[in-house]
Amino acid sequence: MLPSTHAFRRWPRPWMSLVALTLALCCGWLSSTAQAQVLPSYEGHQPLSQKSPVGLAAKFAGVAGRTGYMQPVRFALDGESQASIYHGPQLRELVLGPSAQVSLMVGHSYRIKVSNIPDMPGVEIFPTIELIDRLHPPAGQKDNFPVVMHITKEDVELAVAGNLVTRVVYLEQPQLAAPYELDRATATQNLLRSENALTEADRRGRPIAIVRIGGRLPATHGEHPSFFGSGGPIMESRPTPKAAAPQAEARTPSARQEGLR
Amino acid sequence: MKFPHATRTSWILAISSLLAASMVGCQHNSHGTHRCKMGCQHGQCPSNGVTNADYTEPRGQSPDDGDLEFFSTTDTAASANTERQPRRGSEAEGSGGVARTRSAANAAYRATPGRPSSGAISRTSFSPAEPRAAVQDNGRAFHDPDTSWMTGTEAQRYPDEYLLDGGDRAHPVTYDRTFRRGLDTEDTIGECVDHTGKRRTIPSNSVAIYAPRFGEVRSITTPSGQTSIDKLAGASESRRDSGVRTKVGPQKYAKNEGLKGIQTRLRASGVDSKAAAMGTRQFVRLTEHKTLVRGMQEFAFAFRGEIDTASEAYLAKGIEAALNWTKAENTVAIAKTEALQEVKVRSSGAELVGIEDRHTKPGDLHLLKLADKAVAQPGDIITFVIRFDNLGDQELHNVRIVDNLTPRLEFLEDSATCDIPGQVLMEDNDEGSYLLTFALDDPLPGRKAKDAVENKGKDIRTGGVVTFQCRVR
Repeated sequence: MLPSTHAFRRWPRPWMSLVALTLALCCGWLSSTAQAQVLPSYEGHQPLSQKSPVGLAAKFAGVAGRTGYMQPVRFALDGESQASIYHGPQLRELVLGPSAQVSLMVGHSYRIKVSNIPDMPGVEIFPTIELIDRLHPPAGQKDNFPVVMHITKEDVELAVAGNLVTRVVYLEQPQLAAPYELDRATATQNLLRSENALTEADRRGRPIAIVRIGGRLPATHGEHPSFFGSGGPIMESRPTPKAAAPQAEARTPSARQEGLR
Repeated sequence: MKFPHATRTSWILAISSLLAASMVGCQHNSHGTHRCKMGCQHGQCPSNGVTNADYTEPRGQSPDDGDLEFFSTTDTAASANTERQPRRGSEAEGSGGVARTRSAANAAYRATPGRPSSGAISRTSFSPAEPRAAVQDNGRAFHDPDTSWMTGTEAQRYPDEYLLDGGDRAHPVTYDRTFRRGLDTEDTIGECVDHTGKRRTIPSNSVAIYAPRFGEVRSITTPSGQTSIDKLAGASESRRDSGVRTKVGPQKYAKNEGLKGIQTRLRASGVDSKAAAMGTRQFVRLTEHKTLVRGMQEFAFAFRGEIDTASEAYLAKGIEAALNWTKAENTVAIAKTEALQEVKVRSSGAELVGIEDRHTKPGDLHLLKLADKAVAQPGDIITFVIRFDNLGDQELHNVRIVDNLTPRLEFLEDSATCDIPGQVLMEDNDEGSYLLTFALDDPLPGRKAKDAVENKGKDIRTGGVVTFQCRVR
């Protein structure tokens, strides 16, 4: 039997309802469990930027001890575009396969050639790539998680028009990740000309690579070897078929879908 | 090379004598001890004077038949591996050897066919310790599942490459009177109220899934040439002097700084000192007089032979002491009277009746979170399993499991299951994902309730499993 106070509780007056509604709104605002995602302010000094000479950031990475690791890289090109890369002390040109995936050494800068661009016959561009950091995948998963570098048709058009497009690829910090799937368009954020691309990438995650896409072509009478990169090695890299992930040893519950309403 | 005749003869004699000595005499064995070929067993060897105490080879009986083995302490470690032979009984007496008792296991080992000879067994042989469980080349034991992807060792070093879910990240979950605070993304906690009304919060373990994702920032720089000519646009301005003239005449300042004549002269000052020896006398007067009382000698009867009245007491004390000294050897009787005592104990029968409740431990909620994938690409679907159990004795009320998903995990609706009746509540966590709350309808019983019905053929579940699926963005 309920106490008498419960049995004869009176309905509150109308003005009390208004007060209760106001309080509920305030409580709802206060009880928000997390703050909206805000990029943290950059603390520190970034000596490098997109205007730094090609190869300087890679040298910084080598000084920091991050060199010597072959990091798989995949070039995401438009259509039937074809990529080739200059490598080794002889700076030989290697035409990449359809997957356009290859392992590059961290701490080196490379020059690639993109040709056979759709709707742009005869156009060739020579972007540069600097690897300044690496991933640490589980054993056997190295080639399945390459660093993806996008070179879009828009980048090529900007480069042909005389612009220098600098892309800084960074590893997203999970807490600051965008809550949607990233594709070629949404994965790229354009910066103001005055902003430091490396600083902005560092705010959002961990910078991995710098891609510079310009309209400079090698001279016909020969180019200085440094134009084709620092002579870093390359290795073949192919994504392996998906290995069966280790299954958790928890028993499969005899789940009753109707158990949850 | 030619030798003279006399020299050749002496060489032949020397070699012949050495050969004869080797045939009939004693020789050194490999132990460094002497072995007699003449059959001497006791006492002095007639050939070279070596005693039998150093003789180690048994004779007439197998060394394995005895119960004791004796090894000469003169054996070196190197020779012990080659020719160590035991001796028996009286031969070992007084040899200073080391005795080793044979056990039944040792005897059984000796009976094993094909075993190495006793002389080949090293007394100090070491073998590497074998691990209790066989290990693989990577140091991990066999049958030990690779749980690094679950424990997240690498994920702790490079958390930006992993999708973490579970645990209590950043600020710990706390409660005030109304609100819950500190529930960050990735957090998975269990909430309950025990039988005393106390609210409890238990975080689960953290699950790490390798799923790096890349973003890009793009900066476009346009190098352009620009010519700019800045000139006056025809503005003119004239100023007239206002008739103010200022003359500033040159002023001459002279300052003479002459050198000051400073002379410094240093020379020996030639100081002679004569110290004549002078007689010094000092008279020290006695300033204190102490009289040492030399015990009994100060009394008059001691040094004057007179006995005064004051000394009689001391004399009486000394006489008493002398009597005591002489009494010390006398028989001393000590008597002690002990009275009998009686102790009466009256005990009455009593009976204590009570109920011992062994189930006094409050409810204890434990959470275990698992994922069916260790690595994931964007678009993959991951099934999470949360196992919850009440490991305490008492039941838990208002059990709720709260999971605040990371922004990269998209909860698939209608994928949540639970084998215990309950409700699932989905809320926006303000970070692009969901805050999932699994609330059980009934209290979660503990071991007390389980033990109560165990003998009645019933079963009460003290735990359950919640599963749900998410798509990796």
